[in-house]
Amino acid sequence: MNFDQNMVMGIFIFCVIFSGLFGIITQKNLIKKLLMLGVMNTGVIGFFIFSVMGDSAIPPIITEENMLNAALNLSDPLPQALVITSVVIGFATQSLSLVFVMLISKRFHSIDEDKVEILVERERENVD
Amino acid sequence: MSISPQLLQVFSLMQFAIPFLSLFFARKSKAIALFHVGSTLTIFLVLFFLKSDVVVSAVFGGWTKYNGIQIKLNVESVYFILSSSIVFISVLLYSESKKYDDKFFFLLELVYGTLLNLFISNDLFNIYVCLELISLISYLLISSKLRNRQIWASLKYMILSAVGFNFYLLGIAIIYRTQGTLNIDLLLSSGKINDMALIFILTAFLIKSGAFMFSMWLPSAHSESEIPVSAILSAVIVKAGIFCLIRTKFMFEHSFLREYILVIGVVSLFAGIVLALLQKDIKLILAFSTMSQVGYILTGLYAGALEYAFCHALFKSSLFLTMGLLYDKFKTRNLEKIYSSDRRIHFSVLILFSISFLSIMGIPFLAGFAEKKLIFDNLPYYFKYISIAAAFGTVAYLGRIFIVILSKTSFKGFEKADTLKYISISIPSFFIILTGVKNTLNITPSFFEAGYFLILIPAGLFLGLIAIKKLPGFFPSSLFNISNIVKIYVLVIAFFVAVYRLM
Repeated sequence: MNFDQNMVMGIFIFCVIFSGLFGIITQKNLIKKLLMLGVMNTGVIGFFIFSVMGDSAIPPIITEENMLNAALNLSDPLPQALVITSVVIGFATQSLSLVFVMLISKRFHSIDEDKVEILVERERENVD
Repeated sequence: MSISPQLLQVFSLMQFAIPFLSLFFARKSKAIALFHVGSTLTIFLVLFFLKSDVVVSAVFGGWTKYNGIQIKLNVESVYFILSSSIVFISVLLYSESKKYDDKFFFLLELVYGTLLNLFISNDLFNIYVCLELISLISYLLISSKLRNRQIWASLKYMILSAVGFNFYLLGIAIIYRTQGTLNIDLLLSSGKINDMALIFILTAFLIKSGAFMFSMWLPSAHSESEIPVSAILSAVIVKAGIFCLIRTKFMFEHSFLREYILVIGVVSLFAGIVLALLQKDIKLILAFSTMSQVGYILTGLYAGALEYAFCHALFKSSLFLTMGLLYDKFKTRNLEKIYSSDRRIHFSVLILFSISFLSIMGIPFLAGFAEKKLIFDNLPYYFKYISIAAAFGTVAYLGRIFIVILSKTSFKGFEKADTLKYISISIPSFFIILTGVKNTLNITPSFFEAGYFLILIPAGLFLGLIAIKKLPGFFPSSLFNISNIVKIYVLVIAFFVAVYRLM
């Protein structure tokens, strides 16, 4: 079996995405959950870059040396524009959700998912 | 009459420019929002009646559609823009009478502008950006009063849709690798799309669109947020996911996923009904009702979904705003407590409620009848019996609210301060009657189809009457736990992958 660079990269990215998903499911601490969401997002962005990366492609930057070389194997420049957008959106979601976790820890004095769920449930029953 | 591509680009950019105008003129933000929504509604009503089969497309910045961002206005966009404009104008009038701050109106207007941009986007990545922006604003709208339960509902929605968007990005990465483009027009002609990508994209859209098992954020978000926000969530923001499914339905057409969309729709239809029957909170009943109505839309994805989504936006926004009137009067959302209260409400609430109640059941000459018939005519024959069973459930869970309102009605006690609220609710009701009459005259229903409600209403009301004094109030909170829902996503994706591999 030939372990080339691309295959190792692919396995690595799969592990990152899967560990993020595993963390979201298993972690009960909300901050840890959000961190694992970040890990998953990083993995997905890595996958985006990886999936459009050609074999032995070089970054799409035209310099003085390679300007006249027509047979250049440049990688596609579009995905990085897409990925930057999703990085920014991911950052916005992450920071907003951290604000909400902060509010939750202030009001419920807990950031454990199950405990907050029970407290919210109790509040709902008391009001109705 | 024709629309030039330049005009469409200006329209798209204006949707972000006008909301920011209301940041600079904060005192006038309500007027600016009303002008924004009202003028858009007028333009599209004129467009709809003059030329309903309009198709205009434009690419930003002088690029070609191979490397630029394309926007496209067609029938689907016109339907969704019209329904969201009607809902927003009624919600804006409703929240005018409540004391919300300028920030709330700014957020409402920004989400409206983004929705219009989503409805004309013709690019998978543009859809992602618009959907994310809509979600970000709706997290803020859900938690607008910063109550404990609102914050929790909003955070839950945030984590689940973040997982969904990650799946979506995985899907479009695969599509970009295999097809080399994300433009929907080009994907239409680029051959069969990888099934793995379709699985991820379908999961993401179902998470946004309110299907059972996928959108478990829906009940808490709909029931805990403020009344205008619930109306918008149910009528428009859930429809954003539906719109994406309708725009990209050609991708699922020849895939094995097409049958599973039907199955998910039927499951969602009945699960929503069962869960709604078990509630005693009026907003939770309506939230689960949204889930079951989304089931209808999903089953009719290839015929009738567009028209039915339009009608659902009208009657569900009207229902939620009517519940606001009830809440103002009785100060409780508990149906049992309303039933045992000694206060009375004016009979115009009953009229407004019954228009949308009859419409959701599918009575002729109201919105929903012709559309339901369109959905059922294009489905296998046994589906007719399923739909009749579902109709009984719908009458049963809403009939309980109807009976409670009926028992509390009086002809006195009209409060002048509430006039604007009544006007705001009567706007969707007016359009329900208008579209209902227009569409019912165009079809020729069979005798049974036109008269099935004569059996349906008494039987459904009887079913609803059985348990009116002692409702279970069952809320399966373990089903709505973040970890468990993500487990469900992983299981569903694994199931689809297994089916795809075995075939």
